[in-house]
Amino acid sequence: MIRYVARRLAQAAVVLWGAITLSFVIVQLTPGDPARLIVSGGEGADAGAADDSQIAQIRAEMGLDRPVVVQYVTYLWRVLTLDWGTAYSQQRQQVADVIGDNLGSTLELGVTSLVIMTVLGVAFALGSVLLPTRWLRSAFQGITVIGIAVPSFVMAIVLLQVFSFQLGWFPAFGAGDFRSVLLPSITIALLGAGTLSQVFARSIREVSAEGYVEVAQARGMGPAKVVLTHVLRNASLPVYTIVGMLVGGVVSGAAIIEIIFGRPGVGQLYIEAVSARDFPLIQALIVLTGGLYVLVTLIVDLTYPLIDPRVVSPAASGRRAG
Amino acid sequence: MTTHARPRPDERSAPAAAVGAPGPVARRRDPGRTTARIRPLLAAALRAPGVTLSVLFMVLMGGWLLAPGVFATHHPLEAVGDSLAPPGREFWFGTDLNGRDVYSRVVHGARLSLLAGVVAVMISLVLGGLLGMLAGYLGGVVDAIISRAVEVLVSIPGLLLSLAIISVLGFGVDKVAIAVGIAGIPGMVRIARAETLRIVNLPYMDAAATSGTRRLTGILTHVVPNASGAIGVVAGIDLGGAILAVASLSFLGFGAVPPDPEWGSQINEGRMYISNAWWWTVFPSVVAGLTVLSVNRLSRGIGTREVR
Amino acid sequence: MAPAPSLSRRSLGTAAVLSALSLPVLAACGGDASGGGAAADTTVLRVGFPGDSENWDPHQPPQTVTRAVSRQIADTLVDQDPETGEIVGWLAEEWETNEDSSQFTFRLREGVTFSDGTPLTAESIRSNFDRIIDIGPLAYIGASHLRGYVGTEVTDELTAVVSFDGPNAQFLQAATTQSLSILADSTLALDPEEVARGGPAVVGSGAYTFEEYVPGESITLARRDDYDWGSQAYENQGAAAYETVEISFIPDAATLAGAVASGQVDYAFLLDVSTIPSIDTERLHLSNVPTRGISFPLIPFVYREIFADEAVRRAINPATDRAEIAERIYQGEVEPATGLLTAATPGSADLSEFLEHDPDLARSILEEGGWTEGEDGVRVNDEGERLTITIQYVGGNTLYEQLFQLLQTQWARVGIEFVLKPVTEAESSEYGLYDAPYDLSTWTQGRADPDVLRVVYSSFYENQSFFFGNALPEIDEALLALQSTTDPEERAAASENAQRLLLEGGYSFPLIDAVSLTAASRELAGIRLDAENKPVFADTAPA
Repeated sequence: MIRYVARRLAQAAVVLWGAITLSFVIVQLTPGDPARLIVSGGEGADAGAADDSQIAQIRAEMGLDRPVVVQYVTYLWRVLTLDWGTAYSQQRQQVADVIGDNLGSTLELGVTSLVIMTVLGVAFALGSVLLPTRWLRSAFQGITVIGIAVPSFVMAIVLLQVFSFQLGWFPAFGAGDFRSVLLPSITIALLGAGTLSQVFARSIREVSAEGYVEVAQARGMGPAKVVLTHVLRNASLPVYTIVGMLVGGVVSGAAIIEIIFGRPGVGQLYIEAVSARDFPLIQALIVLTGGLYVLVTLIVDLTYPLIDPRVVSPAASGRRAG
Repeated sequence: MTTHARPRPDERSAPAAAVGAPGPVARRRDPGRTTARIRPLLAAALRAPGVTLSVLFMVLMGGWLLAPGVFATHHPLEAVGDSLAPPGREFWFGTDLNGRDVYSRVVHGARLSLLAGVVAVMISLVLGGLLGMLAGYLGGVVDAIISRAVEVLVSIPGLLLSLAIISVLGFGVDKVAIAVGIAGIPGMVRIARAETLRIVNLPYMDAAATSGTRRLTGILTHVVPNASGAIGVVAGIDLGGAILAVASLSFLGFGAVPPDPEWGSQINEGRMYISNAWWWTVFPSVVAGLTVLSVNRLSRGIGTREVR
Repeated sequence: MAPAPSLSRRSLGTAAVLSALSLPVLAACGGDASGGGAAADTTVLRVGFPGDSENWDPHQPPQTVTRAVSRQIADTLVDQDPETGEIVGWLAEEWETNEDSSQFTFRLREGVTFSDGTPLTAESIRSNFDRIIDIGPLAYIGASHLRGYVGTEVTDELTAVVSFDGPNAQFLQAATTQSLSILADSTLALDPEEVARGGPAVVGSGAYTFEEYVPGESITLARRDDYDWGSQAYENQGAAAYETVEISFIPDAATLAGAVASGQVDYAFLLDVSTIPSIDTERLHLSNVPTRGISFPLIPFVYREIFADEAVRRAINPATDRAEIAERIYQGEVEPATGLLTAATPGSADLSEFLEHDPDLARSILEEGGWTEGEDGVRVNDEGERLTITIQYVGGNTLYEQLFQLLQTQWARVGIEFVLKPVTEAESSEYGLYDAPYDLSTWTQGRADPDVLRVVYSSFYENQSFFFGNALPEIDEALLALQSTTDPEERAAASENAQRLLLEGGYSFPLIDAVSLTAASRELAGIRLDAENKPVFADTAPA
């Protein structure tokens, strides 16, 4: 077991390193002169009078004038020592501070979205399997499809228009109180609930077909009890394995939703950083999302056997689960 | 959807499971080959409305893609009407800010959006499938490297990864397609690898190995045909996702170069006017959504058929 | 396959009722989202701004939102009446200009204090102007207003004499703008970066103090109860009506409009033109004011090959249908340009004769210039080169993209191929105004004075003047005339002369007079704006 954990941790470290390197490569390939962008800070009449000496100074500060390999090594070192540097596109604040300011809001959004997504996904799945009439079941199946087919920003705009502007139930912007996180979370949740419920529903059907369910029914267990005690627990396994993917979807969705709803957050921060080619900020954010993903999958892998004792831990069986 | 045995042309009695088909005999005219063949097909189609509608819709999309001029009612780039006119007899989907016909633009945009999606999926399919099969087949170090590389790509959420790639490549529907394609590689690698592993573990593969089949041949003749079923299904579903990803990137401002009427950029253009000119955003969204749905439905339909 | 267990109808019914109830309960949990206090509640004024400029130093680069905040927390020597354009007193009660406009004497009001308690004296004036010169390129607009600054002499506690080494006719009007706001010594002593971060560090003598700045989210301003020296242009020259002003940043234009339309903010500044139809004027005040400054133009880069060709330059204006642009792109909410300055700018002139839509004239100019019609409709010259004009811009602005597409079709009719190239912000930063790989650019510059022509269309100022490094001597000379006198009539004549030269030579393609849109709840008495169309919260009262 220890060996398995150690191996997984080592794998996680490799993946993290890969993410850092990838971010470095991408940023190197992007066209545009970051030093000039930082000094001029905009376009049109709002642009500052950038003079060449200022640009040269910034280039030296960012280390842009040194060879690529040197830049790479410097950067790896700084990541290891947790020196994230200065976010040039954010008024020269420290990257750590900028991310800290924005992270809370995204976490709030992410967690709320996941909770609502789970509730909705489970509800839709149960509906599409358990409801007595066929057309009701089909209807629930149909709902899940909406989440998959509609672009996220269309969903956001429509929900905003109806529930915030027309009905006035939710505020349209800001991140002050809990109420302001509900509508953005519901938006993201609806988008992911579709996938979740489809996987879950299929899984319920498959599990229901297994022998031990029939046995339980034959023994006189009421249908609800059967579902709750046997089916759900086992049907949730495949869902559990896509948690990592769902979290990734939430982070992606957060970027667009944060922009439309005017919420601060690391999603819209990422888009700003990419636009501005703000190296230190981009790197830090990629390491952050990469780290999050690695963490989530690690937790899933390690706790999987706890949920389903039937499944032997992959380490013990010696075979790598596909 | 299963097919039934085709009745011989001279059999007038209705095939056993043709629900809804007209009663046997009664008619005096010669049924001929065609009618007798069509009937069971129609019957099957009526029983699976989802798939049928999807097929019909995709046929329409195919038409828009291949011959937009035939389906469009106006020139897609010219201002042909009032600015922001609502849907009506002349402009089925209304007009945009420039007075261009939204319907015609959506028709012409099909080529851009669908092809972008197809190109993206092709990229994921070929590169991802190849890498996945290699990983599954060769195992060992190759597998480890490929799997780790895939995890790295996966650790960055798809949209954000595509965004970063786009900022390197620049604007344009073709660049968007590449970016979305690259972001889709990890998913494809996984499926291909899983399928390959499954096939490789089948008993007859050992037989092939012992009989001296070379590795490359082994892949080509055994793995590819068997894995392509599952891979194809995923690719089909990915097509829907690719179309949505292209639209999302357009929303963020990285899409087609104006005046190209790509669906995603139209949705983005129109959203500012959703309160007074909803048709500009809604119609392209609906068409894109239906395309995604149809593609998904068809791939799942085909998939179920083969797996069973 | 055994049938999956299914719920009984009764339990289904219960579940359905429960879920139907839950959504509104969830929303009601938080209370009424549209907020809104009781009538005449003057505790908080909720405002929406379209963005966070991230630099709140009044002297530094002049984003409109920064200037809007600066106006509330800091005062200027003089103010400009938004209706008449007349210069009126503010911190200065009286002022004198010498004969050649190179020396200005200001007599300050008594009893003015900064919000940190320190008094306003003539010394403050000197410190402020000196600081603007000191921080150099960071305050380049202020520096251009103070061009030729020799120094400020303090003749007594409340009298300051500002001197220049030559005539500086625009200085008086410039002294009404936020670039020349008067800040407290404590603020001037800080690093510019610190001041840029906003918050209590930015101390002025304004009706509000800068309480808090949450980056990306909001700004909070608090009323100064002892405020007693409002601008002569205000109705209320004492303390403001609203105790607190809460400004939220709402970058999405549609959301900003929706927020004010649904009452989630009381006041929305800088709305996008496209959102006008969503504003219900029965429930909201809507102020649609033409801006003052240059008419929104496309300006050619004269160093590019295609625009070195005079025929091409002169053909563009007649090829452009401004009325169609105003009608379609701007839904009739703006007026077509009548010159290089907007009609509302002091010193503007009606030069519509140069801006009439005349495709035949455009075609004949091009034909005479050697451009013959090619096979696909695009003209070619003797060497077979196509008449192609390219523009590069930061992608994502719907209105501009729609505008450019309309121009594509308009110019195509006379045989010009207009190619659009959207890029990311990072790419657009690769080039400045003088080495661009594309052919023309949009520009915005607001100013309630014809001097703005001199800044934009001359060769004097790096990164602000289009012909810097490619001087057009005749035009530079004509623009200098704007500096030499403060007499409004003479300046108007000089402005018209300069504009005529620019339009004859095809050095600018003005399109429309942009408007500044503000919407506010009818619970307010009205929308109060200054001469640059910025909100004046000190003068805003409930209905």
